[in-house]
Amino acid sequence: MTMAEVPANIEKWFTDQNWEIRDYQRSMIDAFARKQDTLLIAPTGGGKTLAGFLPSLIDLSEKTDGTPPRLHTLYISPLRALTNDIERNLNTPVSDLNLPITIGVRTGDTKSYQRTKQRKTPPDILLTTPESLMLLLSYPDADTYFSELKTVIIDELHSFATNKRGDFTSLALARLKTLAPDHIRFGLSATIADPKSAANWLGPTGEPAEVLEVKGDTPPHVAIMEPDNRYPLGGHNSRFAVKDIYDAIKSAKSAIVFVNTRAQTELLFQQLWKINDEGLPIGLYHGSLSRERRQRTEGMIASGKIRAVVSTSALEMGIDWGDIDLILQVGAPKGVSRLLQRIGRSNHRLDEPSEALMVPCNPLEAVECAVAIEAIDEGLRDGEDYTDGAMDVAVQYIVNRACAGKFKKRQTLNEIRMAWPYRNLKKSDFDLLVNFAQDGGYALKAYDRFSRLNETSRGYEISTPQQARRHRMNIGTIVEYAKLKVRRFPNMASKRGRNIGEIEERFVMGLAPGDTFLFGGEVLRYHGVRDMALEASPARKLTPPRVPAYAGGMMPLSTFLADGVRRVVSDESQWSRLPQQVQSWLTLQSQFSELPKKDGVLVESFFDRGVYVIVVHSFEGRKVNMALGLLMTRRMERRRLKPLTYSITDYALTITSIDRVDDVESLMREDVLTEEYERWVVEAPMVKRSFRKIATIAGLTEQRLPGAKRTMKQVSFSTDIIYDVLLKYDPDHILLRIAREEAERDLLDIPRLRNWLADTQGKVTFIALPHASPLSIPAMMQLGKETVIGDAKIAILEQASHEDTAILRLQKVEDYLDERDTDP
Amino acid sequence: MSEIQTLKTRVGDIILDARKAAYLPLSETLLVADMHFEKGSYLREVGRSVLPAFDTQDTIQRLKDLAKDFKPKRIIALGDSFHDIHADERLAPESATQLNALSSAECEFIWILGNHDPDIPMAVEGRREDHVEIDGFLLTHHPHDPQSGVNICGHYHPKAKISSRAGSVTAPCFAISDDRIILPSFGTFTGGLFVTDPDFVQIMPQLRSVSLTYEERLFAISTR
Repeated sequence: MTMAEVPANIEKWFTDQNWEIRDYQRSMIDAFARKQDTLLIAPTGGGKTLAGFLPSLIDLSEKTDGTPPRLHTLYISPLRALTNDIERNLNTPVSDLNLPITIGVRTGDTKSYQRTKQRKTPPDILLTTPESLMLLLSYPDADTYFSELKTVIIDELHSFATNKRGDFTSLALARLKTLAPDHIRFGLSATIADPKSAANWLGPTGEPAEVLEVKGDTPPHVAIMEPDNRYPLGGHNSRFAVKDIYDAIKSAKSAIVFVNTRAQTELLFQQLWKINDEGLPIGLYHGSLSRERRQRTEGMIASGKIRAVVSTSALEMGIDWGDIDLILQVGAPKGVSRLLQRIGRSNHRLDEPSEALMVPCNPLEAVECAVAIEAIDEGLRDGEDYTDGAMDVAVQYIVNRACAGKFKKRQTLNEIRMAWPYRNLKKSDFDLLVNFAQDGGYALKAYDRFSRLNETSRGYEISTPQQARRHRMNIGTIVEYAKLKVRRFPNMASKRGRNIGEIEERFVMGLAPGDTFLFGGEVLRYHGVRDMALEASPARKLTPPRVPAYAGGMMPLSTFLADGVRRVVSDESQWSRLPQQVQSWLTLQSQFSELPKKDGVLVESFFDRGVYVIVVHSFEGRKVNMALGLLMTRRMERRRLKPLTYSITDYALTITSIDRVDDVESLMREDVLTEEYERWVVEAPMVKRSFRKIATIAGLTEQRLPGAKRTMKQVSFSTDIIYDVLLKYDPDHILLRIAREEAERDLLDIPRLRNWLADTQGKVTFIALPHASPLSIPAMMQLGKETVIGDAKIAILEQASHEDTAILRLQKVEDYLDERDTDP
Repeated sequence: MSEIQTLKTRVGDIILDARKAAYLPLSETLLVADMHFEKGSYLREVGRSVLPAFDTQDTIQRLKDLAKDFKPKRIIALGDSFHDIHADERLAPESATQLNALSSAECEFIWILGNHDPDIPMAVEGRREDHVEIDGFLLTHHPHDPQSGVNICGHYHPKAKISSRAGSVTAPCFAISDDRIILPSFGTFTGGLFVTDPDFVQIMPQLRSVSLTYEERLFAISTR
């Protein structure tokens, strides 16, 4: 390995910090000199981020005065919080060494005067997010702005390379390559299961990045907490273990308590403060809190003023929190890589192990924790799924490209293909996408609103400045529900409210004035909605508060962990690693019913509060269970078994019906994929759901705040109606095709279901039970959380309308007309 | 094929059609309420919606289907047939032609004026009325207390929610009391008011039953 030259002042700075420059940090300097795209995989706490920036710092330190300001290094992070933190950390060497380097942050949080300043005078180093980068690329001066770019650093690459945000980023990278062909890309990550694919993703198509992998030599210490109380049989509430969690916090200098949803942060935070007799500084952090609130908490963590912070994945990445010495994971980890990422937040020194304690909230979660710990010990990771780039993202990119100036189709297609996820994009598909961006496609052609591009002799351009503005306001791939600001008033009479965060409109619609709810760690009383803000004031705790529901809180279980859970549950010899309580729970299951087998599938059935329930213990993750639920209930409808609802967890599918199901095996034959599937494709709610997201990303409709008039708002939000209209008048519309493809792959994982059905043929164990088994209870607790499906609506209506049709004088209209017209 | 329900009232039969229309057999009159033509284009115009405005076409088509089935001597629209007073500027000529084709020597079209449509577009034929009385049925847009007989009106877009352990279903409905029947909205893009809403209860304190319309079927549910 060639060792790169490091200027003496920088070498000395490292020595002054009691650090030495590591070999891989030198290799990055070397890669910069060779202009070699490089993926650096190194454990957290190893100076990975600095390794990415070091070549730029060295190069920029040699900058002479008077060079016109040009952007040199672009840093892309998936999290806004991370950019602030990196800025702090970079400023230290820059000011210590008195380097002539300017650093700027550009995110959705950046104030508009700063943005204007940054566009006029670019900093040497710009720290940004994919969305803000795309926005910069949409301006006509993007070509000069980025022309001198030398390095792009993509941090935490694993966290988004395999999703739509990654597709989006890859397109932005491809554009940068056109604007500044000479720059190189550095990818940084702590955990990557498949470095080869990640390297392909990082480099331009056909030129994969070099992989530089640094092994950590101190595996973390991870243990499962043995709580004093019994595990709840289902659900995800950590109340039973709150005392144990509190004790763990007390024993640590400083802890991060990770939970899986925003709602859980609020709940656990409340529960902890209820027993916080010692008044420990315990904080709360999630993405719905206001920027000020989040930054204040970040500052408190960084300066060590906080003993524990309850957080969602928002604090999961990158940030160097110095003194954190304990990580608590409450609830199931859902993925090995995710868990490692969280654990890596503690103890940022390579030579000492990170400490983590897992707090499962039900027995199955405990099994999942045990499997994850085993995987960490054995160095195994979740698989990653690199799929072809999403088409709706490509539409957004095409419009973005048009905002910056005229483009020719051929050049833009070539550029898009240089992004690895889009290397296989077909010309015919690309043409359809451009046509859609141009006028919305056939059925929507008549409306100005959808006309976003003009075709001129010199290429395509954005149709109007309004369209450009509309596009810029909606850049991104994260589709969220409509949100309202939460404005907190100190008391009912006060007129001075302060914004403390955002809440989903869907939740607000269920509130009546006077209702109380948890937000930002306190109980608030709802007054009403005014000027797009929910107004509330602190409440005395008279009624139990409600907890806001946040969409997207559901993290998918990695298939790797799902398989592990099935393996452990089915094999008694592997139970020794599980908490004693969980072992007894599994024993109870084996006595009352049966244990799932390693291959094949266990299906249990019983009668519960007026309905028949079947639980299919597939252990195949939510997507497969969802797809199976759709197809099985459809078949049940055809057999008039009157299915009512189905609900899913990562491990099981639960279906309720009015009639008893005796022949489960035939409901699960492979032919459901042909017979029921065809009908499904046309009318499935899942396609509608993916259409909702696609329509937003592709710019058919906007994410926007709700207006004053409810009826109009409801209609304008209803992409469902556009879906129906397109289906009726333009069934071949490109967006419908994308929605179907995406639903098949991303929401349902049909390929995986096909394999699973084939594997379980003839291996269905069907057991009728007097009531729910231990293993079925967690699944049962999901019931009622899903809306009813298809003909179940009719079944419910029929049940409600139990009067005799003769008394009601119901008949078919044609019978009536026959009678009327023949009988004078 | 759609389901119908024959309802006996104190002045005679009325037939409720699951397609959100009603029919008076004695006078051979087809009734629809709150069609809100051109609502889609209205929403687009005020800039809050990206809906392609196929709603008028769709609503007319459904009205034509009903007329074809019942072959009525009279079609009466119970007000709010047009969403706003500028609807005439946006109404496509083909839509007017299709509407006009519904009235003929055999079938008279009567527009009862509602709060949304104090004027009916010039291009559209048919009588304009404030209310109509037929065989003891008082047809109005807003509810009107009949001296005797039965008031049939629209305006409120009634809907109802049926909940069960398995989940809930919301659907437009006919709201029925002894002296009044409120029709569901016939328009394609229209919201509704729950029959349990205090505002609705005030209008119809004597609600006897609702008949929900769902996928061309009727579900009658007693509310007493």
